[in-house]
Amino acid sequence: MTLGLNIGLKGIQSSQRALETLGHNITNANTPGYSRQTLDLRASRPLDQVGVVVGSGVDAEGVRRIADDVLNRRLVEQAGVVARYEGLTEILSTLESLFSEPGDSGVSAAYDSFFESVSALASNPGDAVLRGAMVDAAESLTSSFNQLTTGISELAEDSLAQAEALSSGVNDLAEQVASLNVEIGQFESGGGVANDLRDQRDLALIQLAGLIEIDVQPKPSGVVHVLVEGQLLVGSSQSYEVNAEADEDGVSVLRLEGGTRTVAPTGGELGGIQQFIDEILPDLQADLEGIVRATILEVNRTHSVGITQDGGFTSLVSASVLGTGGADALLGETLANLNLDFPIQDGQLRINVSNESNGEVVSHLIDIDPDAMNVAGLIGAISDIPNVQANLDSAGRLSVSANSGFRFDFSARMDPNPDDVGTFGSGKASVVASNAGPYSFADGDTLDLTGALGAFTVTLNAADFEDITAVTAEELAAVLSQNPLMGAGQISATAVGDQLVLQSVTDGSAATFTIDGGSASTVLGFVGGTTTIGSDTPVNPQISGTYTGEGNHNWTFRPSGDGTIGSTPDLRVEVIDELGQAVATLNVGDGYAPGTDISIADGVSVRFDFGQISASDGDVFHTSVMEDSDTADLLVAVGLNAFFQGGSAETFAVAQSILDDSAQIAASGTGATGDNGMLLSLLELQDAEIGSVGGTLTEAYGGVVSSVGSDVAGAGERLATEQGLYQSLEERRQAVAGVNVDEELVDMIRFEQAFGAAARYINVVQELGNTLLSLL
Amino acid sequence: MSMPGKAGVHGLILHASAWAREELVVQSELQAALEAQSAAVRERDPAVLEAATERVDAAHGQAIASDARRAKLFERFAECWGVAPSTLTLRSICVRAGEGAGSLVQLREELRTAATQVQTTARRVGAELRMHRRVTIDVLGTLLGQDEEGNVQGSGALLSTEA
Repeated sequence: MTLGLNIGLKGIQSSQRALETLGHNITNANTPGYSRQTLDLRASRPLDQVGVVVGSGVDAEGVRRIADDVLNRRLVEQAGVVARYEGLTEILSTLESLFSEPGDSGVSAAYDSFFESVSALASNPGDAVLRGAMVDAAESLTSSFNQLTTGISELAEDSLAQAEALSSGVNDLAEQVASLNVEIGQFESGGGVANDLRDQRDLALIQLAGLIEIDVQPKPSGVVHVLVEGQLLVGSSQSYEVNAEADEDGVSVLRLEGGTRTVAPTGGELGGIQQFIDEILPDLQADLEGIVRATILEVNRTHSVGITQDGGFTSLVSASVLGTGGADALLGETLANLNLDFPIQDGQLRINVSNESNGEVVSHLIDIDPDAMNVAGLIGAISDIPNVQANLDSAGRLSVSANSGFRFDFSARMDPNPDDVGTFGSGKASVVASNAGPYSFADGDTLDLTGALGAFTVTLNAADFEDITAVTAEELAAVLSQNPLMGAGQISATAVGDQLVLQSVTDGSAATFTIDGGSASTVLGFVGGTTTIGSDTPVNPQISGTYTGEGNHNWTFRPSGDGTIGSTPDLRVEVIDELGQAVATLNVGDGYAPGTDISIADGVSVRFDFGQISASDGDVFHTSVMEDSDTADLLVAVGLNAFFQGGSAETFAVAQSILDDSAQIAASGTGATGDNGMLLSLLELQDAEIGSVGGTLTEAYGGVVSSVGSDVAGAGERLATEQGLYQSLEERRQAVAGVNVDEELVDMIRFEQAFGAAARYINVVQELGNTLLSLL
Repeated sequence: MSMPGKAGVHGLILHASAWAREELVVQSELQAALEAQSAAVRERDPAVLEAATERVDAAHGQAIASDARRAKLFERFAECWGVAPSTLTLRSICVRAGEGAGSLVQLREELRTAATQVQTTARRVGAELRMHRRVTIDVLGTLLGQDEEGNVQGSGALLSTEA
C-alpha cells in the first residue's frame, strides 16, 4: 500500500515539475536568448521485494536546456558579421546623404552653375551683374565643397566617438560574461546545469559579437574564454578592458588592457566603423582633396594670366603668405622651401608692362629655378623690370606694383606691334649686324661711320666694358648710344635679340647714314661702305590672333631678299622658331595685298603695310608665342591674380580680392577691350581631361559620388544577405530552443482535456469491473 | 421444476469455460491499457495520452462485448436450471455443476484475480489522472488568469490571451 502511494506521489511530483517547466517556458517565451527547457524523467530504481522486483515509479532527473551549442556559436559569429554591415551601412548612408547627389544643392550642380556663369560672362565680359553672378556661383562651389568635407570630417569624428562608446559597451558585456562565467562555474560544479545563466551568457556573447569580432572558446568547466584577435578579453573569472587611445600618428586605436598589440576589429559594429575609418574615408578624402586641388590649380592657372578689363594691374598682393618667421627670414628662403599650398616649378614667368600713355607693351621673362632662386632673388628679378617693383610685406605676402602711368600683367598675349625697335622696314634708316653677340673686341677697335655731320670714328675702350672680349649687343648699344659723336651724327644703337642695330634717329627717306668700316665693324659683320636710307612708308608688321599651339616659342621674321611689300615678285618672309625650325614662309610680294592678315600658324596672323624690306640691311623682328606664360606656376603658388584661394577642400574659397571687387575677375586674355580670352580658356576646363584626377573635374567628382553610392549599395546588399543568413540561423535556433506559446498552451489544454477524458473512461472501466466481480 | 439434462449442462459449462478464457484475455488487455495510460500521464505528450485513452476505450469495448456474451450464457444456464438469470454467478454455476464444473472452477479464480487487479489499477490510474488534471488546471489558471470554469479574471495572469 505504501509503495503504491509512493509511486503515485512521485508521478504527481514529476508531473508538477514538468508543468512548472512548461510554465517557465511560456513566461520566458519572449525573453531574448531564452532556450526552451524540458524535464527529463526516468523510471525509479526498482525495489527488490523478497525476490520480486517491483517498479517504484518515476523520478525527475533534471531540467534540461534545449540548445544547440554549435548553432549558438555560429549565431555569435554571424551576429558579428551582420553588425559590421549594419554599422557600415548606417555610416555610408549618412555619408551618401552628405553628397546631396543628384540634386540642386550638391557639388555637381555647383560645378555646372559655375561654368554656366563663366559662359554667361564670356558673352559680355564687362557686365557687372554677370560678374557678380560668377562670383556667387564660385562661392556656391567652394561652400558646397566646404560643407561636404566638413560633413565628412564630422562624420569621421562621430564615428570615432561612436567607436569609443562601443568599446565601453564591449567592456560592460565582457564584464557581464566574466561574471556569468563565475556563476555558471559555481553552479555547475555541484553537478547541475545552469540553464538560464547559460542562456544569459549566450545572449551576452551575441551582443558582444555585435560590437566586436570575438572568438568564443568553451571550457570543460562550463566557462567560456573570449578572445579578440588572439588576445584574451574574457577569462574564466575576469574580463580585460578595451580602451580607445591615440597612436603615434594621433589616430584613435583600440588596445586591450595589458595587450601589446592594438586591436583592429574586422567584425561587429566596431569592425564596420574601423573599415570606414581605415579604408573608405582616407581614399574618399584623398579623392576629394585631389579634385579640389585640381580645381584650384587649373582655374588659377587660367585666371592668374588673365587681364582685368582696365588693361592690367597697378598693384597685386599675393593671397598666400610665403612663410612664417618674418620678411627678413623669408628673403633667404629658396622658393622650393616656401610653405605654400602648391609647389613652384622650374620654369619661366612672363611679366608684361604696358605704358598707359602710348599703349606700348614690353614683355619680360623671368627664369625661375625654385631650388636656386630665393625670395630675395625673385623680388630682385621682378624689380629689375623697368617700371615694376616687388617687395615682401610685413605679413610675408609678395606685393608687385607698377609705376604711375604703367600697368602690368602676366598674360601670354602676343605683342601686336613686335617691331617696336623699327628693324623691319621701318621709317628709320636701319642696319642689323650680321653677327650675333657676345662680340670679342680688342681695346681701341674702331667703328667708322658717316652721319648727318659727316664722317666720324667711334673707338671702343676696354674700360667701358666688363669684358671687352665678350661684349653683349645690349652692352655695346648702351656704350655707343652714350658716345656724343653718335648723337651728333644722329645715329642710335640698340639691340634686337643678340644682334646690334644701328639706326637713324629720324624717320623718312631723308634719314640716312653710312657704315664706312673699322675693326669693330668687321667683328660685327657690317659690310664697309653700306649706306642705308629711311623710308616714308614703314612696313609696320602687326601680329594678331590667339596662339593655340603647344609650348612657348620665339618666332623670328626675316625677309628672303630686298623688295617692296605687295609688289616685288617672290618676296618672302621666313618665320623660324628658336631652334631654327621653319614655322612658315609668307608670300609678301607680288599678289599680297598690303594691310591684310596672313596666317602664320596655330591661330597667329601677321600683316604688313606697303613698304621696303631688306635682307641686305639685316631686317628682322621677333615675337613670342606662348601657351603658358607661367610655366613655373609661381602665380598659382603664391596666389597672385588668383581666382580661388586655399589648398584643400576645407580652405577652398574664392579669393578675397575677387569677393571684394568682381572687377578683379581677369576676363581678358589680351587686355583688349571686351576680350574674353581668359573666360573662354576657363570654359575649356569644363571638358578638359586633367591628369591628376583622371578625367574632367565633374567626371572625377561623379566618380567619387558613384563610388560612395556603390559602397552603400554593396554594403546594403551584403547586409541583406548576412541578415538573411542570421535570420535563418535564428529560426533554426528557435526551432530547437525557442518557445512557442501557442503550442505550449494548446498542449496544456489538451493535457487537461485528455486527463479528464481518460479519468471518465477509467470510471466506466471501474463500473464494468465491479459488475464483473459481482458475477464471479 | 424441470431438471436439466446432464449433457446440456456440460455443454454450457464448456461454453462458460471458453468465455472465461476470453474474458481473461480481455482483462489482460484492460490491465495493459491502464498501465499504458499511467505511463502516458508521465510522458508529457498529449498525443500519447490520447492514444492510451483510445486503447483503454478499445479494451473497454471488448469487455462490454464479452459481458454481453456472458449475459446470454447466464440466461441459458438459468433456463436449464429454471432459475432467474440474475440469481446466477459463476461461483453458483460451479457449485450447481459440482464435479462437472471441471476447469471452470480454476478459470473463475484466475478471472477474479485478474479483474481485481484491473480494478486496483483503474483506481490508481483514475486518481493519477484526476490529480494531474487538477495541477494542469491550476497552472493554466495561473498563466491565463482563468478560474476552474474557464472564466478570465482581471488580474494575476502571466499571459494576455487578448494579445
